[in-house]
Amino acid sequence: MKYSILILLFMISFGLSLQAATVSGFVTRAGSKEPMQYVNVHVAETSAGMQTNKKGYFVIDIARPGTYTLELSLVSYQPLKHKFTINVPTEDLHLSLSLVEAAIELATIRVTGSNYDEAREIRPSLIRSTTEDVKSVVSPIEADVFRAILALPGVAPISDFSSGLYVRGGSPDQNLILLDDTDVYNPNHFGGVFSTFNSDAVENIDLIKGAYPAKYGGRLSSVLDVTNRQGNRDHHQGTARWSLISSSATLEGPWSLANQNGSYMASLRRTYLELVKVILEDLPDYYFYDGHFKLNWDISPQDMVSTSAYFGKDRLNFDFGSVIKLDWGNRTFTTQWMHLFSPRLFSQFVLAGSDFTSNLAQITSEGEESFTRDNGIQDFSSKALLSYRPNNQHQIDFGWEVKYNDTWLQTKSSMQYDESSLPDVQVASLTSSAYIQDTWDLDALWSVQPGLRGSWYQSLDINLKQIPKASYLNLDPRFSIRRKLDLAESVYASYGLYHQYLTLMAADFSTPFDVWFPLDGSLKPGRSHHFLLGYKNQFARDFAFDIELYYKTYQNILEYDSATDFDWDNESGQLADVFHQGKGYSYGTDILLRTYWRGLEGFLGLTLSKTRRTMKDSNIDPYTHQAQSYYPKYDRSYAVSVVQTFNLSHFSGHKILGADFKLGVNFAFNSGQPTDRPERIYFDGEDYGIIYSYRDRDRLPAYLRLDLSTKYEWQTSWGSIEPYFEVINVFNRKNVGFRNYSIGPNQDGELALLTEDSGQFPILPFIGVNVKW
Amino acid sequence: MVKNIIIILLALLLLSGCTDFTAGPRFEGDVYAIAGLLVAGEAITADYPVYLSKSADIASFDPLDIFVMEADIQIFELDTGKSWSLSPMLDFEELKVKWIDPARNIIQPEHSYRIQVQVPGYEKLISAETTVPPETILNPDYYGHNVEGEGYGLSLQTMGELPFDEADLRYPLALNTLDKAGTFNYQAELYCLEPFSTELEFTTPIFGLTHPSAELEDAYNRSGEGMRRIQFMGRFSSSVQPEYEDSYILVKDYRQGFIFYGRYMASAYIIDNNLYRYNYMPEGYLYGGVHNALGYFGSASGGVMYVKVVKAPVDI
Repeated sequence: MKYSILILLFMISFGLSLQAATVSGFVTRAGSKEPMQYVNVHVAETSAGMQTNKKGYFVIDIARPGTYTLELSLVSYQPLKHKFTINVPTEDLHLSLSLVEAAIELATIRVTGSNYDEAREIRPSLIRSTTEDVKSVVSPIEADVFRAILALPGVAPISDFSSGLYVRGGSPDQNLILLDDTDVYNPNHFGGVFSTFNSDAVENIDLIKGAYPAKYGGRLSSVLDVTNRQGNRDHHQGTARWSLISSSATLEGPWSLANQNGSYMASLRRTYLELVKVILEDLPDYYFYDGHFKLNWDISPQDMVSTSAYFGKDRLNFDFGSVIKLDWGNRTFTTQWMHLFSPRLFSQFVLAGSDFTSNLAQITSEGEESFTRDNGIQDFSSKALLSYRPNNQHQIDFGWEVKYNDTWLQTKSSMQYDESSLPDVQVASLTSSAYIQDTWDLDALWSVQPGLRGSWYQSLDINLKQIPKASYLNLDPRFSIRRKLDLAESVYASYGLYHQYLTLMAADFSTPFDVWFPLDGSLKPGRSHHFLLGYKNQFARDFAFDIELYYKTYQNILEYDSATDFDWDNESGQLADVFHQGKGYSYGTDILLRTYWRGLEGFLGLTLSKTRRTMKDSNIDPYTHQAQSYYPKYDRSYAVSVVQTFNLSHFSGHKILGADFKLGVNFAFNSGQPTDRPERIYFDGEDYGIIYSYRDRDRLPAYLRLDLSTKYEWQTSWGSIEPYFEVINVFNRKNVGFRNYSIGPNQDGELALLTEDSGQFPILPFIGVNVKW
Repeated sequence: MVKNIIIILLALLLLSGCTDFTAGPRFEGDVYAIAGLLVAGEAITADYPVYLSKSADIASFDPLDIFVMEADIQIFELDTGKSWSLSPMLDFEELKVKWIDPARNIIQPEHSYRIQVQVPGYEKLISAETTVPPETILNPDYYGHNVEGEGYGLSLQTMGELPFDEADLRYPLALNTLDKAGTFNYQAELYCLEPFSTELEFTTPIFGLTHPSAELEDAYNRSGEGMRRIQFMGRFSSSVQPEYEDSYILVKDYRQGFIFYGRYMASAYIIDNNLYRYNYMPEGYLYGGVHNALGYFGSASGGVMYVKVVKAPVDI
């Protein structure tokens, strides 16, 4: 009965609103006509407003005919006021509006626009970064999306040489990573210095650290949603970058054919370590290349089609008598059709494909393959993402997704290995899901956002008969509530339930050779509850403060059991044999203070957190053989980060050598990662061996690193030149990535316990130049 | 308000920094460990002893105190019901206490054995069982080249030389399992007998280096697997080979395990599950089949041979 009344109220509410007029349209960037997402748009006279979506679209109800003023604002852009008139109550007015980047008046620079999130949706735990944000984070060699993400509060780096994202106690496999709405499965290049995403090709990065909305599913921890740039629709332009070991070039511009037009963007990048190797032999035989492409076709104001693709490949060879050849890479392909069924009903239909492959081959000097290991995952998905806005009080997002995964791991050897001990597994799966979510403004202060996501997972073809098939159906409720305390101040709470059907066979350290597999019937889906309480306040024009308390539970989580490398059996094995299964929780506080003050842009972040896990048959009590809970390696009691770019020219009002001079700072101070340590010694028959403590008996020394950069930006008549110089780990602090123990002779020649630390980045200077035209 | 929040947060940060968030000790009191490898066809002697060690605290580690001399160690041959005691023997050269069988009972292939250890002052009975793998013979010259001065020898005195480029193709590691075909836990090891020196030469230059630097000495001499000791292990299949009627485990591509030119000890064994698990499991000392103590009580069948890996091809 209650439900019927609610439904009736909804219908009356929607029905009444459908008689109202609308003002809708797209907001683009002046000079490039690229769509601008997350622009605050509101009608001054009615205070009704919203933010543009990822395609730059907005729609607002106008109840009565009349003349109104539409106000648009976004930080770093000049605010725009646009008058419009509604003549009849049912009119649908469509506008195309452009925002101009804020003009810089030296010495009196003011960052214009508002940074306050006027989004209708309640977006807990969302940190949004633009390309410029990414580029302002000092990173080794070149700006990198993952390095920028790793600097954010709530995200723990595990090593300087890994770009695995550990978000609020989750492991890297629990992050949903999307590039133009396509899953990317292993987004790392070798060594973790470079991520898959070339920052020149990226428009926007949304990191949602928890309690993410019903639109997203399939992972337990977080969402990283990356959008490629569409390309300049106004004129052709390019960017080139050179550094000591890599170069990249990006071209973009409009296209026009007959009466059709659109835009393109292409970005290519390659390392050339092999050239440096001519000088420095002490380097591996390695290179990678990658490319982003996007083509947009603006059919009409109601229809736009875009196609984007990504490819990347890493190749690494070791020669030690035999040659070990390794290669890995991602490929993605997406076609999206954006269609406006009406001004109130925005839709996006996606057909996407993604694959990740990694291959290893050992080649004898006779040219024969003595060992091969081929692994891959393919993903074919179709999605529909729709947003219906019946009135200014409701926004209903709904859609569905069908995802087909095919995965394989095949190992062969010319040695006389027992064939059944060499993994030869192929598993396919189908995941169908649908979601609905209403963002409902109850009044001017209160908003609620109930949502539901349903998913049905089935394993399909499995090449090994004994592996049980899986079929799981789950309903994941999501709910958020927000109360505005002031125009730019709000408090909110969120809850969400999440399930995960994919597993990742990965050791402590993310590598390109981690193996994805869909669940079989021997394992239950991972399950996580997220609870959030947050407070946001833009307490001054140039400063914004966010604090979030979170609590996450994890059930049926998995940790790869490395013993599988030696005891796998194709004739009896199943996925449950490959993992330690367990549970855990994490809680903590993330604090973020953003600054936009007189040339000083960036943030200060602080995280206080605790993560615990209990995994079956791991970290066992030697007397009872029961698993003990522990702090995993990525637990951080505290993490302090300061990421700031200071534009001295903007601050002082003086150009230096005719250029803008920027100073970049990236400071990190994190508690040491948990680790085991020797507790006892025994004799193993040949040598003295070490008996280790629990996995979290000790903590490595706290991690501290300061990176600095300087950059000149010379504007010329044809573009700009930006030479830069940066120093990583200015203090040359010997941060410890891993501590290794052994028994051996000490300096006095006596047997003793020896300690050896594997390092992180030493002090590293880099120079490079960026050219834009 | 913001000021108050900042003060609270700073207090929280200080509290977080003052707390370790670490686990307590894992072990209490004395921790005993067995290292016992029964080799088919051999007795438990000074060459194949059983070790019993005790460790109280790593901070007071003394290599001489670690070996237990006072204990009652019994071996039971479960197939025959026979049993015998082991006696401690102090090896003055190696400074170790070895438990040996004065009666020199030969370990029989495919027989099961049980060890029981009673240590005065330790109330628990330490025990373990193993089943010895079938008889095997390590064949140093599988293809029967029979060239004097070339190839493997069964002792340091009889070893020959092998050019690195064709070491494995010409002389595979060949473990004869006689009439037993099937799957076995296989373990092989190449151990460089040369003492560390910067004069040692890499068989394949590593990142342009042809000789190890002095900094590598510790890594070279360190216990466990490293550049001096290369091991490979897995479930291997023994099958009848065209050249012989017997079944063999053949490894024909292993020369990359010779990191340096010089003298090597090469061993190949099939091993029981206790030793296999001890070797491959993380924290293998918890999985070596020993009850009420750590370590392993395993068994193996195979052998050892020697060779000198040289740079220039020998005149053959």
